[in-house]
Amino acid sequence: MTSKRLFLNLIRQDQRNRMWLTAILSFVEFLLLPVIYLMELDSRGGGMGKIAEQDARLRLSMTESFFGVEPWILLVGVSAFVAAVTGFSWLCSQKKIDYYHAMPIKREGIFFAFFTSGWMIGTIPFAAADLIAFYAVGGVFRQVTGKTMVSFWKSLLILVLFYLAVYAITVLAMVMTGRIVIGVLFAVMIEVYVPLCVFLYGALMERFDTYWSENISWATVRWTSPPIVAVMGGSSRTAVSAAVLLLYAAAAVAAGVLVYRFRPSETAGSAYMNPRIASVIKVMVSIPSGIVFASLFNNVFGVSNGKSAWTVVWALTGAVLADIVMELIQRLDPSAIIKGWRSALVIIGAITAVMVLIVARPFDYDQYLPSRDGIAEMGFACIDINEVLLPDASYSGDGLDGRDMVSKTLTSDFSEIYKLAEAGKKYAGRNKDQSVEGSTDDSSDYSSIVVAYRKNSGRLVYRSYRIPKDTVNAALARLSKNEAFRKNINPANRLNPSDFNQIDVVNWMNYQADNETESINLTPEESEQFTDAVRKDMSSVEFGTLLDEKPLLSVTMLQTSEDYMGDVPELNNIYVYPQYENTLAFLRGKGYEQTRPESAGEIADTISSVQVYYDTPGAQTGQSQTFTDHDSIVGFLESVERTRREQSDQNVTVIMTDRRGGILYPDVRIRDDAAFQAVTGFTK
Amino acid sequence: MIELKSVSKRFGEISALSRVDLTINDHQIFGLIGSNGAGKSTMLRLISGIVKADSGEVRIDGKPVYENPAVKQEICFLPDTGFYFQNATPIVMQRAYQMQFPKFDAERFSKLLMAAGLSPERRIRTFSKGMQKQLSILLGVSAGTKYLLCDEIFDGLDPAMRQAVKSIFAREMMERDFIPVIASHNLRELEDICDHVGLIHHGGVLLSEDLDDLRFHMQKVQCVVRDPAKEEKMLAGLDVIRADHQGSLLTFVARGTHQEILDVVERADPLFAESIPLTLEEVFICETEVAGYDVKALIS
Repeated sequence: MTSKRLFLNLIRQDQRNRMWLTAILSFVEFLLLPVIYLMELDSRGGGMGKIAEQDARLRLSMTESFFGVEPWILLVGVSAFVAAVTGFSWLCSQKKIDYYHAMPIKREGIFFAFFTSGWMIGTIPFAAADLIAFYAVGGVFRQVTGKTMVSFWKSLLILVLFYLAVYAITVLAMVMTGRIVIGVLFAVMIEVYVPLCVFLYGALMERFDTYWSENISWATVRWTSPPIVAVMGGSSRTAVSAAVLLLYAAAAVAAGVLVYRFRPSETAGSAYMNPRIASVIKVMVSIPSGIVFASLFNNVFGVSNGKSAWTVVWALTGAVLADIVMELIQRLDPSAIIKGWRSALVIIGAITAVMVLIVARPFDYDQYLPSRDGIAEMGFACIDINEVLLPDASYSGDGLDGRDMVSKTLTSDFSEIYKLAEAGKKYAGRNKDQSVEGSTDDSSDYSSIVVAYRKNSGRLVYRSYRIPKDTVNAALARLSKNEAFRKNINPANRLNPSDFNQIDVVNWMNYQADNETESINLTPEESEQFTDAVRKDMSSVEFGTLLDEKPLLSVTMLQTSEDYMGDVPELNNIYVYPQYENTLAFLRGKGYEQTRPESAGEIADTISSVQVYYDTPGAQTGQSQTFTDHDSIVGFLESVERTRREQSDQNVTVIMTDRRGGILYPDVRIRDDAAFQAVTGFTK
Repeated sequence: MIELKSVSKRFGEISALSRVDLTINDHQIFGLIGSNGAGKSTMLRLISGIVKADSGEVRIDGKPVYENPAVKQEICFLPDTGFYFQNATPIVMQRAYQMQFPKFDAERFSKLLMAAGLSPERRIRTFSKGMQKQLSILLGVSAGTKYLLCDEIFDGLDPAMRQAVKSIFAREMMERDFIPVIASHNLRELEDICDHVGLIHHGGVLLSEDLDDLRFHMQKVQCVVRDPAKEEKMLAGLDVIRADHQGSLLTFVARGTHQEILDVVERADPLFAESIPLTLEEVFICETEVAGYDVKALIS
């Protein structure tokens, strides 16, 4: 009975002692939610009077996004951190520990009293501010509709659970440690450790061009980080995200109370409640730190000169430095660094093992390819497909190509893909030296591809390879004879007609600058017609026929409506080839007559200057030339041809200025070496 | 009654207490004496259930204390530097203690505060070190617990306040079931308040005795005996712990009652003989010297 009374009194007492935090959070949250929301609503439209239909729609969209998860995740996360750290900071003081642990209440009682109090301090002001903002302010402005209410309650649920999860994890970190700084660092580490390690591992794999594609995808690891789970829960899969966040909170609370029950009072002020935890955490933090250090030196400072050995040295140096810094933070005594020699040895050993695994690739583990009989399906993707079809092709694991595309191309008729994988294995060793050791001369002759194979057991394995472009293109040409393959890899599948209401057409073939585009407005029906036309054309034209073809046009899809609240489209720029009959017919229907390829003289009429930069292989400095007279421009244009980026000469850079001031950076390929040298005066 | 049975406690590589056996009986003021680092605070923190013994048992009135709220409700621990909330006043701390100890006597606390001249509404952080110590003691006494564990509470108190604390303790003992346990490294502070004293050194209890027993069974005598043979015979007939000559003046400490010893001295036909009071420090020095310890090095 006394314990129960004391439990409640402890909560009350802690609430009184931390009134300052409640006041700050309340002030900030009431300022940010009802007040800012009121200002936003007031600034859009005619205030509380008659609201025009468009204003009403805008406000409803704004209300939905205002009460989403993303705008408030930082505020809620930080308040959870602060509430947990201030609530349990007494664990760092011997004097305070003595006071609280002498109380006639069990350890669990003390833990839950402070836990409950901190939970209330963070949750109640936020929930109150959120509810007032939505129902009071939103109600006055007629924003409380069924749709906004669903969105509001979903976000509130996720944010409250996110607070609980972050708060519980930080409390666990505070209980396991004995100093505020270490507690905060430990909490951050728990929150983002797995995604961070996966990211670093992927970066390191990429750095050494290891022929492996991440098996642990973001789809898997995103559940390991509460902030990512919360953001996901705000947009979709709310129930799953809520359950995961609740699970995090429950696990952290259970672990926290268990650890606290056995936490020795005398460890107050020590960096960790148990010296063994210190060693484990040191090892866990130092290894990724070493990799970050190596990446910094390689990628940011560029001091490794592409040499693998230096990367290993930087990784080891970084890991040891991280170890020393952690020892200093933990023990506040430089001489104690020597005492931690055992964990330092483990760190050095572990990072060496990681480096050996990635750099030396023992047993070629990253290139393993089962026999054909052991594989049920194979898929394939490469950037070359998008390079041919899209002006701004980029390679990303989850984007237009990469893993997502690979999974769509899985087929049981995989002999062509299997040959590509075998070629990848064959070129693995040679290619490594070129890409890793800094020689990039031949890298443009190689393509990065991702191959996936589903084993008979059902397991899906991804591999990345770099193989000669010719081999890839030949395989692509053969594969794209299959209509199903073409349909599956078609980037136009990503086009969403509701994402654009205007297209800007550029006469690509005739060096038209971007500011000379012709804009065509589209009705929603026309956007759909255009999308269908592009999809049909991309699916029907064989890849092989486009390899040496030149685009006629470049088309950009735009959304110009100010009302538009959707996402930026993933795909917003395409090439239009002469073979795109449907697309060209649509454009003609909209009054756009694509012009024939013009002569160099006709193009030169529109150009006021051409600057050419040429990087001579092996030379320290490049050469440059500027043409402003008509004849020189004609001569230059005749010596080169405009190409897609991947076909261009990488050492030639051209900047064109047209007579209206438009600037263009066309990718070109030297058509005639002698003519090029004659007109530019450049020496090879 | 507080019982420690074969209690050991280590902090990492440091052994704070090693197989300690100690009993603190009811109706007495127990003084725990020992040098800095001897293990006094650890012992008090074990008794108050703050830390857990690595081995052995700590029992209060026959019940284990660790994680036992019912038992801890009867124990108030006053550490050497008290903990007060940020910006707290004595009234705020009174509420905090009332919350923990149902028998907290708010009226008595107010009276004691007034008597000590401490303002109930003033922020504690503006108090001097001595005033903060006074407040700690007043809170502890008013808590109404049976056991009051005081760690170095006399440090920083002026003589008048020390005397006042002794009076308060005496009154509390008269009025209710009250057992103060006072740890100190200063023997002189304990000798006129404690009934029973335990000497702790290097994590072990060297001695635990009633002061009255110690004083009753040990006497200090100064005498002048002209005949060396008689003096020798006199000393041989006594259980002498130590003896010093200053000229013809012989000062010795011997075990035995006052009358027993003086009877033996009278038989030696002294020119002069008188019994003089033993200080607690002298008692300790004598006792521990016998055990082979240099107590002057152990206590100040």
